[in-house]
Amino acid sequence: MLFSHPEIAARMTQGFECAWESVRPAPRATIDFGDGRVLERTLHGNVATYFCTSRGEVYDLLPGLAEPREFARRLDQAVRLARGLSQEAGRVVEPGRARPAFPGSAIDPGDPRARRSSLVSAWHRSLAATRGAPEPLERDPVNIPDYSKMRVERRIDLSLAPPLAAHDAETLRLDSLHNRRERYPLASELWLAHPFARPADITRAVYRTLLGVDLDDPFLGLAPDVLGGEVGRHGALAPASAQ
Amino acid sequence: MHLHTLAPFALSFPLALPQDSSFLSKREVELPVERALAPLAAPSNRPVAPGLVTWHADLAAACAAAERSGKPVLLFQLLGRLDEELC
Repeated sequence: MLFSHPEIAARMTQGFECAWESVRPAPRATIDFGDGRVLERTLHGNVATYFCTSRGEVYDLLPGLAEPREFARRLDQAVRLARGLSQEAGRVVEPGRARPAFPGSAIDPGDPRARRSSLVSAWHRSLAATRGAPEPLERDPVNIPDYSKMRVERRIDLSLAPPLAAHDAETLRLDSLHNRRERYPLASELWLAHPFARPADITRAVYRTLLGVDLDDPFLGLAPDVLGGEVGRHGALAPASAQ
Repeated sequence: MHLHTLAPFALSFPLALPQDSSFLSKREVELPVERALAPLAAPSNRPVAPGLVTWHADLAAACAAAERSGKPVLLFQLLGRLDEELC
């Protein structure tokens, strides 16, 4: 489990105020072997991480599971974005001496809310532009590469290599790659459509659009595959508790 | 005595179990097998620690703490519960 990793847990606790919430009960896949033995599993990967301001406004989001190194990288980026937001909120710009935060920016540099929005929008626009790219670019609007820092952190990065079985590690690596090429850019597009929304306001869109899970469907969109079209032939099935 | 001869008594006294020695010995034999299979036959969702992270109770509590600490908030959403084995 990612949150049992000492380095990840330390970064999360030191860098953030953390909370978790369940969006619905976990669907379970049960195999009854018929001899009294039952194997029960859940469907993994239907998770989302939101980075929010203290007012509960989402400024970044991370759909799906990630390798520890990838997750740590996004934690660091989220901390830097938060610092940038905090600096923009506290920066006083005198009228007439204001300069755009970014070249070509049309925003009013004297408006702290507009500067704050511009900062995060730039980050998400850069991520959204990487969709489908073979090697997603590492453009970070508030990051200045510090190679001496990277040299120090290399040992930490190595310690974050997943201590998983080879097959599981490969699966997670491929999932992370898919996330970077597809889900993260789509997540940024979703943020640009709903800037600084509250998590509850975008949860359904995050699950439906980014994770392929329809929270309004009691079968989570799995019915046609799992039931072989039974739902289509017999109409909507009632939940087990209502039968 | 065959079981079908006990049927009228079973209907009248549903809690009266046959006390014949062969029935008890069968039960003694089966009990260890039942015990061995019980954990497999009835999967449960055991409570577990939600990792090494310090978690607030909910988003509102995390936001209140963030107002004091100046840190950003991290909200993790999932299907199921992070403090249960199957999530």
